[in-house]
Amino acid sequence: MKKWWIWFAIASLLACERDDLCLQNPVIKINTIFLNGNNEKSPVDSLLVITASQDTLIPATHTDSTSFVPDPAQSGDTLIFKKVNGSFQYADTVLLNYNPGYRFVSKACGYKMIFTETNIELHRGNTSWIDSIRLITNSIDNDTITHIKIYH
Amino acid sequence: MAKAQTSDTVPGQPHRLTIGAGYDIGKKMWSRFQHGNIDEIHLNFSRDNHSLSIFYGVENMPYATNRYRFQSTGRYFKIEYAYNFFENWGNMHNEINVGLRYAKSHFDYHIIEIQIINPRNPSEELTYYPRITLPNLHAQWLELTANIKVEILPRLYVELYISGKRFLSGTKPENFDLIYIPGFYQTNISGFGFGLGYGIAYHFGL
Repeated sequence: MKKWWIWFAIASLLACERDDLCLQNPVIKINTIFLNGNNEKSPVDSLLVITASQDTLIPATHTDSTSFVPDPAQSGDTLIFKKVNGSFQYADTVLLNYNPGYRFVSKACGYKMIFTETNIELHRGNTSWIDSIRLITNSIDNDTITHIKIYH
Repeated sequence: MAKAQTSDTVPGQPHRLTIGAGYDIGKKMWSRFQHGNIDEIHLNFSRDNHSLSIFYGVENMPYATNRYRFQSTGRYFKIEYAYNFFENWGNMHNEINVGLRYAKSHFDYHIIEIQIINPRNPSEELTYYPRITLPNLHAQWLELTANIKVEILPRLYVELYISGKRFLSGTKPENFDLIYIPGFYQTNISGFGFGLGYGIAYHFGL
């Protein structure tokens, strides 16, 4: 009888599954970089990112980075980047296009959302503050790397 | 003469060849219960205590979790060498076999439905019906089997078996994984699988 339980325990162990971590969201990370010649990240006093589908998404104070999650129901977002200097606001608009898709993670987790074929267009406002904007990668599938760099 | 009567061969017919044909009832019933279908037949050639068997199966099985749902359709074949350890008394023809099988499966996946957590609103699940077909997949594995065959009517046998399976290799589908393999069933991280079931077989003595 004892031996039967040993075989059962071995069989149970052999049939075990990997305990996967399923939470890894596609998040667009944005860094602002002050063009002082050193190509370093530089904080701005207040950076406001406004999207059409979600107002005032990320109000950030004295920050050099911000992030937001693209909308899987859309194929793009219009982002308004505002830098606040006292009572004066500088603003530029960035059109961000992406293609929602899904990538298989594991047997336990199934699929996760990703965004591919990403591209950006900078539309300068009358009170422009952005010198240039750079898309680092056109595939957004994690929240660990910087996707967009704003030079100002 | 006395020696021939104590062996498992028919008296007067030493080293006779037996051909058997069988059908796996257990797989049929289990697959219908799972809202799918499996038909597996086998041919068996045995002489003295040695036997060689060929299995052929056709499958159409659904697989569903709370994250995705797909259909697996395909076919497999297995070839087995087995040795009968059972010493029959008199004119009995029962068998206790231990065997080794090589198996290969060819199949397609049809992804029907996937559920994804909305990254913008994690409390919401998005449902997609991609209707993607992942064709020309294959896998191969080894099985160690043990079975008992009991003659319930002349030449008609009921067979009970268990098998331990060891996955060898397979094609990983693009943007998916080998989750269910016809003939092997569910895969797991260890590469081992287990099977049990029963079938019915008819033996033609030559």
